[in-house]
Amino acid sequence: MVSRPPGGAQGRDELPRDPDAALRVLYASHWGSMVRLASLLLGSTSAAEEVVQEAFVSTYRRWSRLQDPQAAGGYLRTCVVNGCRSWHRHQQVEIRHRRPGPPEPAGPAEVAAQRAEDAHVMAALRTLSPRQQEVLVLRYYADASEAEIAELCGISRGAVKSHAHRGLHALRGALAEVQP
Amino acid sequence: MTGRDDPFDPDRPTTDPTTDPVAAVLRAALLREADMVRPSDDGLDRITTRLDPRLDQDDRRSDRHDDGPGRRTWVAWAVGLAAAVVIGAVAGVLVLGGDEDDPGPAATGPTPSTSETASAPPSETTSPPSSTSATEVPDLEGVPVYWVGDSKANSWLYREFQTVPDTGGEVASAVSAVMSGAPLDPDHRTTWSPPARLEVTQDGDAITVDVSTDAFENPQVGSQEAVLAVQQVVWTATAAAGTPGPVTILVDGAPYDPWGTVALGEPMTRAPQVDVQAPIWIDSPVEGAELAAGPVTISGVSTAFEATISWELTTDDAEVVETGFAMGGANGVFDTYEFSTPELAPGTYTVTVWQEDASDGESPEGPRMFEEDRTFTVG
Repeated sequence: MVSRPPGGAQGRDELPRDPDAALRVLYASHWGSMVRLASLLLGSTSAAEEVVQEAFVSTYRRWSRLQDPQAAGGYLRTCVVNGCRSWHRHQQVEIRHRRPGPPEPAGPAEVAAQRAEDAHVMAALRTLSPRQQEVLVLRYYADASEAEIAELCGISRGAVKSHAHRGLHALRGALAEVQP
Repeated sequence: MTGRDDPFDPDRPTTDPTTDPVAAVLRAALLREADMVRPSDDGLDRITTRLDPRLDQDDRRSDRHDDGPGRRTWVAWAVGLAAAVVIGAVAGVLVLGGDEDDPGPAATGPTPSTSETASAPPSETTSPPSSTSATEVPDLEGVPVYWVGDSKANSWLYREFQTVPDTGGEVASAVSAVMSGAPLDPDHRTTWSPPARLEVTQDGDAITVDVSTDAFENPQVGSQEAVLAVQQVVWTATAAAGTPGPVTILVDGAPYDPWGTVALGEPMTRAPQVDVQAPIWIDSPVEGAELAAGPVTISGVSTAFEATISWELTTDDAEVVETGFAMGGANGVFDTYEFSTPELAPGTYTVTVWQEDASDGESPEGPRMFEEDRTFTVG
């Protein structure tokens, strides 16, 4: 069914002090959810995997300096969100010109219709600014609170509100405009 | 969540997906879209591959540390001393401020951010101040020294944690640095000239600084500059002593009016923080710091609209590597900020921090208000 989103409530599983062992535990518990989150932020699973690998590397390297190793999941997620933002910055021009259309419908009619509808929503989402996409994905997929989003994005809570507000507003407009 | 607390749309009193169709549609699409993602199963291998060359680098790095006699020891000393300075300062304030409403300005001096220095990456090293390293005098490390610096429309005090020659204790050495030393950041300066004679004495909280007249050789000091010069000494002495003061500056044992704008000889305390402390300063890294490869943590103290400051990291070719935001204190309350750069390849970098002008270009400070920068190398 639907994957469990990497929500605000971080799993506080016991993590080993040894960085190599901790890496394996973190990987087992976070690799899939982080790749999914990054895929939604980037619109590309291969780019997402690159970013998430790099996030694991940063977390590993910082291991001995993390004051609370049990918060490593949160640190990892921050690295993922930051990595996605950097990726966007370098790819902005390309993204702006790319509007992925709905994929070929396949399978039973309802599934195909659902896929087309989702692709339509995702295409509309991609027309928003990277920052608005980031805030909306964190809010509605990762279920992050306003305060968590502010921290993850390094912006004020006021800015989170305004990005979310404008993002939803723009999404509403884009959905109406791209309506088949 | 109802009414004006709603973060998203004043016209929609709730973000409940059942009543916000767009949010509901988006959430459902995101969840199904995420479920379509098939993360590859060789991620751990690829992460490990990425780690390998860096592990080698780290090993080489620690070898290098072992080569240099006591380089690590030096760092440990600096960190330990910085921490000791904070503890001293905090203890002083706690003891002395017991029956006062205002715990004294020392509380806002070294306290907030020396902890940043103490927690700086252990591989950080700093260049010794050029003007003082030639002497045989033992050095004090992590001493807070206040310098004058300029934003576009104003002059402020900027703090630097420095290694200074021990000229007779923390307070005397710090005050001596203000007059005879040099800032690490070339954008900072001092209004004082090196005096032939400087005596610093402490009697309880009270600090007396007695200098010879040659400390005032700098001509053409305007009134704002003169106030800042005096506050340089007051802030530095109180920070080093960990007391609220007062500080009395005497010239050859007597009152003096050096620049025609400030009368010395009376006990003085710190001017209000918002009047003299730079709205944004950088504590770590120090100018010219040589840091290990990897992400660099930048920290300092700021006050800004909605607490938000902006930052930009550039190479020595002025190419922008990364930009971002950080949160410090808000609207006249000073607090620490901290952010990390991405992994940095060896090279020289400059980090710039500022507050965005929220007034649509009305500010005399320009679009980047209270801009401050710091150059460091990553090895």
